[in-house]
Order: sequence, then C-alpha cells, then structure tokens
Amino acid sequence: MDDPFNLEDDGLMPFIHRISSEQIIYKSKKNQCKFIGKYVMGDLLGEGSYGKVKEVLDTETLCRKAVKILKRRKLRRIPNGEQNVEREIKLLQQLNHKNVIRLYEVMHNEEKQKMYLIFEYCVSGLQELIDSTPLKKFPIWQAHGYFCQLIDGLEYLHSQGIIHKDIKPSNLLLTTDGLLKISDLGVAEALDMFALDDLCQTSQGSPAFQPPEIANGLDSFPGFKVDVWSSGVTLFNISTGKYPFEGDNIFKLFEKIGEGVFEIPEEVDELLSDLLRGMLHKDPYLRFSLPQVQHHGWFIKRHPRTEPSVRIPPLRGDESRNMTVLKYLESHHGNNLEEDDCSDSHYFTEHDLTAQRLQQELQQHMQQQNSRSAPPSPGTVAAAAGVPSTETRRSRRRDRWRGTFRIRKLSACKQS
Amino acid sequence: MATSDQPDGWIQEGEIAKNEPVGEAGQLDAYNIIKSFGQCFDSGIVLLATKKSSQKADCSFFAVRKYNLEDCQKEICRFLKEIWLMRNLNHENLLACIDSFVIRHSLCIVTPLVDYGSALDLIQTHFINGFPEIVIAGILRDVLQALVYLHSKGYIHRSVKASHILISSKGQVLLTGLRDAYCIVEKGRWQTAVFDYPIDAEQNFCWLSPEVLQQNLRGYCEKSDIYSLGITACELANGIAPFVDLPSTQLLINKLNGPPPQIWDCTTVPPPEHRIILPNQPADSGVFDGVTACSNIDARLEAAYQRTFSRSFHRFTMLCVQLDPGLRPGSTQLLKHPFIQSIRKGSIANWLECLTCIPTIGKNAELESAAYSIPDDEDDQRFSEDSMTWDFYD
Repeated sequence: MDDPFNLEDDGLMPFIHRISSEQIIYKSKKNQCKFIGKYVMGDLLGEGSYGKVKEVLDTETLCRKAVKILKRRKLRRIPNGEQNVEREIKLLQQLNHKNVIRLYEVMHNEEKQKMYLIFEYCVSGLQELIDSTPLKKFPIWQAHGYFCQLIDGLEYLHSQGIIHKDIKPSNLLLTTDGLLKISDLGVAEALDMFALDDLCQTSQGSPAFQPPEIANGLDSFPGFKVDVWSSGVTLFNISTGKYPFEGDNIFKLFEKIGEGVFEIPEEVDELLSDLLRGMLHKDPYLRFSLPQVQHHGWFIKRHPRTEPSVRIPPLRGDESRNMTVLKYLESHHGNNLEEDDCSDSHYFTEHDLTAQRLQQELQQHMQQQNSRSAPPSPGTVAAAAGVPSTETRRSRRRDRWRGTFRIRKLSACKQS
Repeated sequence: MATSDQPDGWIQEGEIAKNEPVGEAGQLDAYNIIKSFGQCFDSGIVLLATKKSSQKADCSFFAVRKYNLEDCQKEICRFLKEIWLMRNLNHENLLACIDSFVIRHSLCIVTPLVDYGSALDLIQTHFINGFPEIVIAGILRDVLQALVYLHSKGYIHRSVKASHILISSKGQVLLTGLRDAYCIVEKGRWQTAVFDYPIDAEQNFCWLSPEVLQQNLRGYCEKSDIYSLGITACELANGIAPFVDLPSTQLLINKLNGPPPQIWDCTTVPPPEHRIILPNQPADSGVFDGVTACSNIDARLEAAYQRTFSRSFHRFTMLCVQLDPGLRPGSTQLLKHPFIQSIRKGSIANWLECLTCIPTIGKNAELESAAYSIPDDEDDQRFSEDSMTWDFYD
C-alpha cells in the first residue's frame, strides 16, 4: 500500500489522525519558528566563543533587531566570561549615542541556561567589508568617514568614563544607513566616578591592537590612550590594508609592539602618516589625545570621493540583505498564501495563544456536532484515495504544519 | 481660514525650544475654549476655540490640540518637529499651525478648525462602505498636491492615511500628521534612499510600504508615500483599510509576499455564491487577501458588489500599490493620471454635494459658547485621567 507518510517503521496506520506528534515536529524542524518573548528568530548573523548572534524581528514594532545568545556553560569556560557579560550589560544600559551600539533588552532562560541580549540591528561590520575587497582596505574618503564616527563614539565613551580597550574593525558594526556602531564592551572598563586619572591595571583586548605599555607588561597605564592606540592601528589597517605590527605568535608580536617601531607604506600621504605616528607613539603620555586627533589636519580635511565606495557584500546571495525571519514566519502562519485551495486553513498569532486555543476548541466542538453532515477535508480525501505525487505531498505538508501548531500550543500551555 | 493674524513663527518657535514657562495662563488667554471634541494621539485632547479679541463678525473656529507633556516625554521632539514643519511649510493642502505655546505642563498647538474632521471620521459616521468615487478622486487629488509639495521640499510623509486627511465643508482637503515626516536631505545632500524606521510604525502598519517594513540595504524613498496613498485609496473606497485586522507578522508576510490589495466593486468581489468566508478566519481567496472577516464583512462585500468603480480608479490604485517602488509613478506623474484628471471635468461642487448633509463640528458650537474657564492644574489632571467625565459648564 502506498504510504504517503513514511511511517511504516513505527507500525502506524497511514491515517492522519494516527500520526504521532513527535514524528511530525521532527520532520518539520527545518524552518521552525522560534520565539523569545515578543521576538521571532531569524538567520545566524555571527558566532563567537560566547555563543551565537541571530537576527530577530520585534513582532510589536516589526523592527529588525539582533540577539546575542549567551550560554552559561560556554561562558564559564572563558576566563572572566560571566563577569565580562555582566559588566557589558551594566555599561550598555546607561549609554546613548548614535555611534555606540544600543542594548534594548536582556532576557534570561533559567531552564536552558541561556541569556538573550537584544541589540539594535547592524547589517554588517568593518571587518566583513574589508574582507570582501581584494586589497583589504577602503578608499581614503571612506576610511576617513568611518574613522570620524569611531572617534565621535569614543569621545562619548570617554566622556562617560568608559575605556573600551578592544577597538578593532571586527568590533565596529554598520547599520543599513552606514552609521558606525562601536560594539562589544565585554572587556571595557568604567573608571571610578571619583578617580583622579584614567590609570588602568588590566587589559584583555586583542593582541594585535594592544599598545606597547601593555605588550611590555607595565603595572599601570593611562586608559584613554589605549583606545587612541588601537584606533590608530584600526585606521592604519582600514586605510592601508596592512597592520603596523605583525608576528608569527603573540610573543613575537608583543616584542614588535614593545619596540614601537613600524613602517608606514609609501603610498600614504604625509598628513595621514603624521596622524598615524601621533596615534601610534610608543610613549602613552606623548601619544595624541582624542582632542588632538580631532584637531588634526587629516581629521578635519574633506576627502574627495575619488574612488567608488566599498559596498556591503551580499549575504548568502542576498544583495539587499532582506529580513531573514520571513521564511520562519511563513511556516508559523501555515503558509496560507500558497494554500489557497484549502478553505479551512487557520493562522495563529503569537500574541494570543490562549485565544487561539479557545478558538480551536470551539471549532473542534462544532466539528463534532457537524461531523455527519460536513464533507471530509481535502487532506483526508487525498490520503484515502491515494492521489499521487504533488497533491499528496502538498496535503502532507499542510497537515504537518497543522500538527506543529497543535504541538506548539501544547507546549505553550505547559509554560503558562 | 483666519491665517491673516498669524504671529511671527520664528519668535514662537524660539519660545518653545527654550521651553520657558509662559506666564500664568499664557496665550491660551487669547482663545475662548468652547468644548472638547476629540482625542488625538495617546495623551492629547482637541479643543474647539474662537479668538477672544476678534470682532463678532469674524467668529472663525480653531482647533487647539493640547498634549500633557508629562505623559509624552519621548514624543516631545516629534511634536516640536511637527510644529516646526507646520510653521515652515506653506501649502493650501497642508494643515497650518497658527500658534503654539506651552502652558504649565501642556503643549498647545492651534490650527484652523477643519469642520468635517478627518476622512476616517466621515467613513465611520456616514460612509461605512466607503466614499463615492468622485469624492475619492477629489480627496486624492488634493492629497497628491500636498505630497508633490512635500516631496519637492525633500520630505517623506510616511503616514498618509484617512485619519490624517482633514476635510472642510468648503471642500478643502488638508493633509496633516507631519510628526512622522522624514527629511531626505542630509548634510545638504539629497539622499537616493533613506533607512530610518519610523518610531511608532505600529500605528501605520497597514499603510507603510513594503520597503519601509523590509528595512534592508535598499532603503526607501518618497515613493513609499505613493504606496501609502494607494492603501488610503483602498481605505476610502472600501471603508476599511486593507490588512487592518491582521496580526503584525501575518500582515508583514501578506504585504511582502501576497497579492496587492484592491478596491472592491462588482469586478473584484465575486458573486455571493462564490464568497467563502468563515467567521473569525482570514478570507483566503486572492481578492480579499489581507482582510480578515470582521463582523460586517458580508455587508461590506455585498455593498461593494452592487457598485462599479471606473477602470481608471482601479488602474490608479494598482499603480500605487506595486511592490517595486521603481515601478510606482511619482506624485507629479500621478497628478496627470486620468482618474485624478477626471475631477477637473466636473466642478468642485460636484463632489461636495455628496457631503452637504453632514453636520460640521462647529455647527452647534455657538449655542454652547458660554464662557469656559481655562482649567487650572488640578482640573488638568482630572482631564487627562478621564476626559469623558469632564464637566464643561462648572
């Protein structure tokens, strides 16, 4: 007998009402729609040691956002992992600047041992953009634009007594309208409100962007100048495609940084070389301060758009980087746009699962009452008559979704 | 309408920006408040007023929108933007701001009274199944003129909808709702696309264009207003906006992937025997996509089945609601569309006739214009708590 549901192994009868719900959910897991509070999960944006970053959609405002998912288990394995996250949340919650990433909400799931940080959505980052170019660098005017925004954001952070300590292209994100957002305050330090100066003792930033005072292992060093140095390395990197200091391993790298000697490529003009030398001065006390950077000729200068801009590359073949939650939502809503032949398809709101349950119960009640008079649903007809290929597949998929709805409803009931 | 005694806008603007407490009752003294006739936005009330100083002969009415600033701290900058735009833009189809001031913790915005209220008010009270075609053409022409002006000044309106279209008994159509407007010009440069996602998008989900909701790298431009205009055309014709009853995520799917909404008449609504609409479920025939079966959908569809809209109206709507903004005509082009041009053949009075029997907001006001004292702080509090219990004659 032709079994459209492939369930022979379980010895189940090939009738719709006999399908075990676990089987159904297993098969349809591919595009399963997940909710965290009012947010619908979309595709993966990035992955780090701490966990994943995914796109989400706020179902109340339909605004795109991003969620950083932190797993307790993974955090414990990272030195200072949990403290760093706590500090990051505390710092981000008090910040409000157009060039610093905004944290909207923090959610916990004790059962799963997960934390969800909802951030504003950034479509790309400087590192991703650089990697998409052949020479791993930006045209000067574009590098200048990003650098100015970086300095604006840093000025704000420093005004709030916060030293970022991990400025690098991969921590500088971009929104759809090209705004730069300083992100990842995981190793940032907030100075004491009554501190006399910006002396710091620790730094956990990325080695290639660390200043000589840290490479040389000094006990304490002026904190704001750490950010100036790493911004200098970042500028060096995005405008030349090279790093001022390189080494095969961290010891050789720190040796190079400790000496503080670097070469500026010949194509770099005199004004920019002067700024880079100022920002990458070995002595933190002689290194440029942020106001000095802001008053530097290269910073002030208007750079003509001589070359075309580096554009954000397509992501998984999608040039305009559309919303990725749509396919999950479609499956959640039963894809009823495709199923126009099905007159009794339901759709469900995530806001109102209870109302949905009541409605279904009512319908079941009505179905029971009308069971004799009502014609069989198209799905049953197809299955019973064994209508071949397309129609069967279609109804199978449809019924599969119906199955997941019921299961989701059940799990929702358990939670509430 | 009484714009002759408009004070110097810039001086007023400065006062608001400084947020100086205006002495005692301030400039509200200059107005006789007659009654409250509506609510706007979350915390605002609309008062009907006349100017005190004006002679008996000139008893033109004003609408005073009053917002309690303590209830809407986040929105203050949007109100300021709205006032700034209303004062600095000048077009016969845009609602002007006559005066604006802060009294204690309330912001007052004085505008001319537009006596029929909004197009949505008219739909809800007199045209439940939608306006006649000639009226829609008249309304849309004037809204288009306002949009041509706004777009030429570099602004995207972003909330064109029936509730933001005001109609007066003299046949004037005014576009309002500028607090959601967004400037295309940034740092002196005319942008090819903008990316800002409106702050309270949820108020305008039905009307917002797919590209605004998509929030992708292509952004959107002034053509998104044309989409909203198309949805507004459906709203004016059908008496109900497309997508209106859908949960937000379903709306998103239908708008981005579903068929475009339509105006309902005998060519788009199937005969009764073919209408399969179950209670509390989305209608799933392509025609009604995006509209759920609300309580009176049957009556609506039946009424729609009895009428015929012109082909040019159908084409006009279809042009506006196209998914690809590049295919939508611009506001200037749309003004030349046969559907909009058709209004010129008949006179303006032609479409006004349809509205003449409707009572205006100001009509009975003279009877009620007994002195109305300005509420002090305590009363103010009571006002914002429950405007329904407010006693106007104490």
